[in-house]
Amino acid sequence: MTNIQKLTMSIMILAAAVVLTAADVIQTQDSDTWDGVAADLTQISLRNDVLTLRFKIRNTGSESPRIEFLYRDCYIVDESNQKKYFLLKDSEGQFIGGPKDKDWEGGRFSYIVEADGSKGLWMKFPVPADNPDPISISVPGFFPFEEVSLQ
Amino acid sequence: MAKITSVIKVIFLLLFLIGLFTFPFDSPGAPVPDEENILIPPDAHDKAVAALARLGPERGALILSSKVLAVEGVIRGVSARMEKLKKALDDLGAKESDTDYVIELPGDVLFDLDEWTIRKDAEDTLLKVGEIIKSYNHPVTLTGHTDALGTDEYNLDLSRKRARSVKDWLVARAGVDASLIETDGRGEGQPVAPNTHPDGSDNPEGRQKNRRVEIRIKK
Repeated sequence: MTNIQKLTMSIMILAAAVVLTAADVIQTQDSDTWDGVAADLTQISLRNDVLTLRFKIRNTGSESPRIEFLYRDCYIVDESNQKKYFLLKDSEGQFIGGPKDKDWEGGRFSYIVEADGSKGLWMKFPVPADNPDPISISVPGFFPFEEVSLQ
Repeated sequence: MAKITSVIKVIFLLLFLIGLFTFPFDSPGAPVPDEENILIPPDAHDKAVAALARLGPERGALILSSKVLAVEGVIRGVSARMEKLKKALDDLGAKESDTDYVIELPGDVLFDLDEWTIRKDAEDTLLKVGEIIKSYNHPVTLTGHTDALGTDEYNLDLSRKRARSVKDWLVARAGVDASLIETDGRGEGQPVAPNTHPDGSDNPEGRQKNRRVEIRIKK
């Protein structure tokens, strides 16, 4: 095998890895409010005791509902230690998450998600103090994400 | 010369590769048209670290009482049951009014011609009906209807027998509380489609719609 052939093969393998990583979904929960809408938990990252979560809200239904909630109502639960944690809040009283259509009450998510469309969402929480594993995540309008591992 | 060409090709490929993996797909300034790839602002992490420092060692934890945990568990359980229930109602094509859910099961699915014994392949459908009734635990009326073939008396009797047969099956096989269910039969008296065409000829499609058992669940 020539060097160029080896390099081409490496590129193909790396490209396949990139595609596979992009398609990863950690857990999916249906909406209990909007028909045909589901939320994928797509990324968990921990740095400096900050937990960052990324979601993708998908609409597989035929309607185009307005998905709406306040960031103040999102939380994670460390059930083993019976503790609940809300989003981190910046010095201006805004919850650290997005996107937000309004700054009301620390921030609101209110967007129309078209049929077959999707919308990203991210939030930053404190990593629970006792480093529990797993945790559950609650986003209004969706069934809770349970047994989510932080390892 | 060939060696130099190969080296140049490798350099170009390497540059392409470096470009591919360092392109700022997820950083500010790189517009991403896909709505799902929402960018996290570059200062969000620093703000989060500062917020965390302000919270102290407990990191803003709210201690849940066992009562709160129990209520949350119940809510989760209820939500899951409601979702299951909604799916069963959708599967059966239930219609909803302010006071009732109404499910119409075709007679041909439940029974053979002129019979009132439940067909084997209707059992999955009736199990769903049973689950719905048990979940609501509200009064239910089962009403049998027939087409217009046969005498009024025969059809009235057949419709009553069929409604009772559905009730008996739900009680015996799906574990539904018998006291919740009332049965009735209307014979051919309440058609939902014409039994004959305007020229007086037989309308088999219309008659098929009329052979049914209506399940009315009080909300």
